[in-house]
Amino acid sequence: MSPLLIGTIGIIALLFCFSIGMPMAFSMALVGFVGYSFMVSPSVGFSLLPRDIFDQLASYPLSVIPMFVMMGVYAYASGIGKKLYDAAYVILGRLSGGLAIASVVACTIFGAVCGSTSATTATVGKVALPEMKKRGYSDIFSTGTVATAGGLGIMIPPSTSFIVYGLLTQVSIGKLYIAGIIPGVIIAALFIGTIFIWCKVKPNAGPPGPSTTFKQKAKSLVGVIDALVLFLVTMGGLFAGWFTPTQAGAIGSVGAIIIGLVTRELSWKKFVDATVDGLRISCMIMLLIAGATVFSHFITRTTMPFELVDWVGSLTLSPTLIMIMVILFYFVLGTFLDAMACIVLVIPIIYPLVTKLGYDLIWFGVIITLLSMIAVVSPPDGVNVYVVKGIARDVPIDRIFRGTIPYLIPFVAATAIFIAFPQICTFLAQLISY
Amino acid sequence: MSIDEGMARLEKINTAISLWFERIAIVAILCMILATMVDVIGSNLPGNLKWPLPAGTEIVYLLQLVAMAGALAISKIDGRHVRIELIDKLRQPALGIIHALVAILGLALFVLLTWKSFEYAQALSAAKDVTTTAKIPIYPFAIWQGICCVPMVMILVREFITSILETRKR
Repeated sequence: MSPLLIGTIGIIALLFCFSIGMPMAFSMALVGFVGYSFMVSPSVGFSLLPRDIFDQLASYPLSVIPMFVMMGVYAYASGIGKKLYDAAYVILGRLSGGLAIASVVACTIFGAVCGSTSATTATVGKVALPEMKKRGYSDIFSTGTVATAGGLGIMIPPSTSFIVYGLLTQVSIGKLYIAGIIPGVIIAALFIGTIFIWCKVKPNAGPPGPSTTFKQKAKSLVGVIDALVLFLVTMGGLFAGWFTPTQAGAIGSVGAIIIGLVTRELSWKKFVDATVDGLRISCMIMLLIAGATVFSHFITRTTMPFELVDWVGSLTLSPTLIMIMVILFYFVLGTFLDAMACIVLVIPIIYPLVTKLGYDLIWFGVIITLLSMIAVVSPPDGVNVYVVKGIARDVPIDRIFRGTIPYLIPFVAATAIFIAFPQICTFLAQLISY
Repeated sequence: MSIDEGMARLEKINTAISLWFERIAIVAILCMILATMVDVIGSNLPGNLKWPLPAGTEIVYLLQLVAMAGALAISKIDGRHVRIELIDKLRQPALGIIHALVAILGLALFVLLTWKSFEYAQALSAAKDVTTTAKIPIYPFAIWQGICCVPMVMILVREFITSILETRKR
């Protein structure tokens, strides 16, 4: 049997395991192990399995994942998100759809201290959704906006998506982080534009709130200081080359705890709950990576990634067209798979192709993260939608999904902008050396 | 004792064991953060006061293994591991049969991983494998990985039996 055929059977087996509901990490490890054993020898496969898992769980470069996950959960427990939303609410609340705009702004700034979409959505959603309901916002508009804007958590640094992508492709995490800033701000601006248009077409969707005085606005800005300091210390130190990503994450975690203690928001119970939550999230991501490592050893053995590169190289299509096809493929896959699972499964296979086509891996990292933002709100596995559902229990899940549909327009616009002007994603990264 | 009662008791035992492993994992992850902080602060102290944590990198990655392996079982109980929920709307007995298949596949993986982790530990011990700077033996951490897979095996055994029992429901 040819290696390519074995690889194809392996991928079919993997999709079968996914479809019957087997955890993705377990599926990848099992299929990878069986496939590798079949191709090389059972004894080599037997030794590969525990070693791969051990090497990943005990990998120092991967320690950046738990560190930034912990930073995010502590920032959430310390009430930083609530203060950010309050500030954005006071400043923008009087506009049509102002509370929705405030949610986007709060998600953008909270995304600067938290690398997870679900934590960002939960943080802002808990304060924004009840307020929007009170002000007569339509539930489709409010829930769809919060679910979508929560995705900014993975575009604005720190971001778990960038970490995992960087580790899989050997691209500097610091460069990926800084590369995400401008695209993140552009996407947030496009979301705000969508809110404006939505409220123009349907004014009842987001009626304006009460206006506030200049003094109130100025006072509310104090709430932004915590997040700003935390961002400047961690990301500033990382971009300046003072800390490694792992160290920046640890400093961010301790910084978030200190903020929580100083503001008396962080109780012992909240601290323990946040630690447990962060630990379980980290374990889930690390196990996904460990499973993907076993699987990618098998796939590399089948020579599939190289065959793919050769095959695409033999086509007479332009690199842009191929890239658009790759993006469409990833987009479709992202609607079925979890965003993180999508990255660990697909990136090792397609990144040699991206390099061969002459695309910058930092630019591609931004595109993949953008597609992950879509994946977290697309059915059936849109994690952000489920987070919003957990907060707005009275809103049917299909209405939340419907509320995210108009945001496909800014997503498509952002993708087109970044394809047409890749420098937007790469020029900041060229400024730092780390 | 009926089989349902037996399964309920097994679930209780599994949860209790997994929570104990998680407590160890919590201590490890907090120590990771602390060790990294000590290392950063120590490295940036002026002149003679400079004191980066000796073997800081090794301490961090070994603690990470303790934390992540320790949280394996509780994450499974908590339903944290990402999966597609396409089949969840099926009716019995089809749902129970598929759940049983998923459990048996997972069980096969973790039985293998448990067994082979201990063998890996043995190989590391025989080769006297240690970390580069602090010369910390690595094999106890491979043993820990194997030990942490045991509750996973127990959880998957319970899931398998429960899934089979589910098929009786209409």
